[in-house]
Amino acid sequence: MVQNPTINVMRGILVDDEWTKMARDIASFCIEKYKLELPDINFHIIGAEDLYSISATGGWNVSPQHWSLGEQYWISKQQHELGLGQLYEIVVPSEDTKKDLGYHPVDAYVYDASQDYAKRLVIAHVYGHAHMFEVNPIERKFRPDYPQGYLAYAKKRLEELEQQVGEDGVERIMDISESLFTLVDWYHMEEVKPYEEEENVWEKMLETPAEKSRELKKELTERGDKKPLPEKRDYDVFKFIINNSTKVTEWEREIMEIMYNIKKRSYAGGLINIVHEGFSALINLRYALDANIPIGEVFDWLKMTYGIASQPKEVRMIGANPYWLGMNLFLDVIDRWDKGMYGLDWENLTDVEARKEFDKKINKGWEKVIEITKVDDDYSFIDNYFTEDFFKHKASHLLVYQGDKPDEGEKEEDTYMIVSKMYKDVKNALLFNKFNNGLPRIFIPKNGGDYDGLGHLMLVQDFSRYDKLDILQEELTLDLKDTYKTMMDALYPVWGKPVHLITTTNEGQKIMLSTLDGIKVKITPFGSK
Amino acid sequence: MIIDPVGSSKKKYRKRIQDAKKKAIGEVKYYQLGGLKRGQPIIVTIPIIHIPHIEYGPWAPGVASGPGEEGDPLYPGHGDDEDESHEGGKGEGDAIYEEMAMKDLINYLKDELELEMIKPGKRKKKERTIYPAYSPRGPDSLFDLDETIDAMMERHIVQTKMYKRLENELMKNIEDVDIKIVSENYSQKDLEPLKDEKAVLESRLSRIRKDLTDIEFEKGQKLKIKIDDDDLRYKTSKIIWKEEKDAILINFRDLSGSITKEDLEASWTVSKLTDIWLKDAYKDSQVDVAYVPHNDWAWEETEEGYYKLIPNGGTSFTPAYEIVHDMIKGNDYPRNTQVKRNINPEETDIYIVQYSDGGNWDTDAALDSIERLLPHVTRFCYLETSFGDWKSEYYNKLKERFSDKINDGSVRLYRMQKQEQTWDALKTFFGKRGG
Repeated sequence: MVQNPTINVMRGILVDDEWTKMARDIASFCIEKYKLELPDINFHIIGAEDLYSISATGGWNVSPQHWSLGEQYWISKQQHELGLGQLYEIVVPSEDTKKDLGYHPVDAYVYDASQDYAKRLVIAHVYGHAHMFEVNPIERKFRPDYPQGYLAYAKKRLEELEQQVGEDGVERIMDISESLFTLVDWYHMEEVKPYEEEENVWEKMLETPAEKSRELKKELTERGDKKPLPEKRDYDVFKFIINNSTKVTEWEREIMEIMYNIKKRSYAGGLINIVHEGFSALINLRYALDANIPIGEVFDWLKMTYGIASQPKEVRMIGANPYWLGMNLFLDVIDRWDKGMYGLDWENLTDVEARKEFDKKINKGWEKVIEITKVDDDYSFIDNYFTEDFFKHKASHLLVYQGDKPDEGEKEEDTYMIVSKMYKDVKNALLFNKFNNGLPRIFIPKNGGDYDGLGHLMLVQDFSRYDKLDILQEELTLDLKDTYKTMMDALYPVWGKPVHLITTTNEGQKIMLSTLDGIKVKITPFGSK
Repeated sequence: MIIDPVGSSKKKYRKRIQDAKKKAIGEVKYYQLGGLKRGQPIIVTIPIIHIPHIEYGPWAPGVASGPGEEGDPLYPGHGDDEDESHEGGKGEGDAIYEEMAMKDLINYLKDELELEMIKPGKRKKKERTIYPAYSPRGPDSLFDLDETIDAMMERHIVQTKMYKRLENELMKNIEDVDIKIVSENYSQKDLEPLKDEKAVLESRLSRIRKDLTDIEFEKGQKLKIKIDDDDLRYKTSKIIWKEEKDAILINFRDLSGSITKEDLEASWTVSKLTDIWLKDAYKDSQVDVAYVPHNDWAWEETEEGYYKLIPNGGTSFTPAYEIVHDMIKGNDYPRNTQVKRNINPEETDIYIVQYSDGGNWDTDAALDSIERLLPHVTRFCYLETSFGDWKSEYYNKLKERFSDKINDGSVRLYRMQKQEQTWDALKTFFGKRGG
């Protein structure tokens, strides 16, 4: 933690004295009142055009020039101009790292809004983000030391390669990397023990020692001197392909490595989205109420941000709004810990009236909030604090839906049916969407990089751990159309040899998808149901 | 400070959408945004490239919010307007590139139809006038006060310095004479010429001093400067020429009773595309469009009126051609427009596109008229629409008579048998020959 963070507000290359003073006042207010731990912050006040650009790159001032940035820029621009999504700020770790001092400064780009009070509230919002950057374990783990330096290097290097091998070649590999970046192991860095195949205890006991030794011998002779590839189960499929593919050339490998590093950082944000946005929205709200801003302007601000931080009850909206969910969970936590509504006393209380009147007046709410920002990610946040009471009182309009395979000419959305409005199901669905960023877990089994001894690549979908969320195997069926395309257009071209994927149909039948030539995918039943 | 982090990727995105079909991975999908513009609900469709990922299918549970009970569909009522609030629809629509559409069309004309790039004719044309220098003489309208005051100040400084130097010299001369008078023993007779010399010098000095007091600046006094005739400065003009012609596109439309609605539609499409193509080629100059409908007689019509006219009457081509003659000569001609055109073929490239079904009764006179017209015209295009069985003679006669002009490309003919042949017509008129 920094004792006295240095805060500057820049307009172009100049420091705006008036705003710097105001930002520092707000900072000391927040540090004193909300116990925030702030690093050094550089605010940049920029116009709308610049904000579209900077949001397209995810907050970085330089970035490799891929068409997806242009696409994102165009979407942001249209959204902003139609008033669908108002962009106000974007916060990223700064290049100027002070690692040896134990903290990382951040850069914040703030929209030059017309009203001054809006800018003040946005600044308070930024402090929420900055605090999260400073204290949250997930943020600290995925934060690069010199992000802009690396991106500048990546941009320059990719431009050089474009000159050497042509734009089309570079773009092709970048597109393939875009497709494969979801096959990344988010939990690898935690160094959890690799999850071993479930062993059937009874089978083990039934196996005679003779059988066992025979199997062991067989395995040893098969293996010979060759080490299995990979030696143990590997969830980092993309990294594995980069390191072990015999097909890709050196420059292709280099591009894929660059893309791996960039993408891994930028999509780690998905693991911490709800806490991040919820906490910032909370700071924002509290500052609006605590600071001496005229109530009319606060009301104006709330009206303006209502669209962003709301989960409508009357209109259907797909997905849980992270601003709304995070902020309300925090407000609920404050309420409970202020009144002491936790622990055995509370759990054992069954009388409805007594539960309503319960108030120990211990006022530990804000302490708890700060504690959450220091330990939780989205998964554990929902797991621990999305309680039945919260669901009943605040979030009863949340529901769970499931779709089906759309008929010819039908949109996928039209098949969505409401399947449950129960607390348990909603919570499980929320957790499901946060586990592994809501993406299927795909791994390469032991020796899966040399399947059949012919260099085929074997991928397996991992269904374990989902039973904890009451989610059946058949619900975890992959989107087959996209999976085929990924296998044919992305995996096969970079692996160069046949690729297999073991997954399941929505009837629960295990199947193996194989592409032998990169032109079509063959489906074969695999094992028994 | 931000230095355009998106940069060239905007261009790359456009190109990626254009070439999406040629690429090995990804396909174009459409992302829809609903919003309000001037109180009207609009849907903006943005083309995006969908890169496939290994993802869960529709069976995976998702969280949503809103009214409804278990077992209800999430979006009740297929195609209901209420659905607009959700984003990311998957239906296909036309890509809306508000800033890109025209450029895309021109690229299509250039790349797919392989139209020939038109090279505008060369002519010296006044681009702008600049005023690079100043002169002491000129008309009052080009008088420049700033420069004049500058010149006056300059003259004043030089003059003051000059007078001062003269004053010093004279004082020195007088001193010399005085020393001579005092130091040497001249007789009274010898002293006379010296005294005369001194008197002359002193009178000169007094005159110079008088002049100097008129102009010299003293502290606490006003400046004593006047604008002299020599100080006056006038701008001199220089014209910058550029070498490019303007263009005019003259549309002839047959108004005879035999013309059908299909003919009209075809002519409208070809006319608009021709206009776009010429405006792209003559980027730096003007492209004017004239509309000349004709039946038994011809007149110039405004753009709005041109397409609203109802076919009626007989057909004669000659009056239409004569109108172009009149435009070139500067004669008056029948018109519904306010301004009489006066086309100078040396300054303007003339493109004529004639739409007709070919029915005409004064063929020979018309052909003669065209022959007289052709030396002034850059390109003469004739589009014959014959969607029925009837084929005209006029097309064949044109082909016979102007075969050499057809060979060098200044006359181009096309007979349109189906409405889908619009692009072919355009390709014949502006495409590469022999291709």
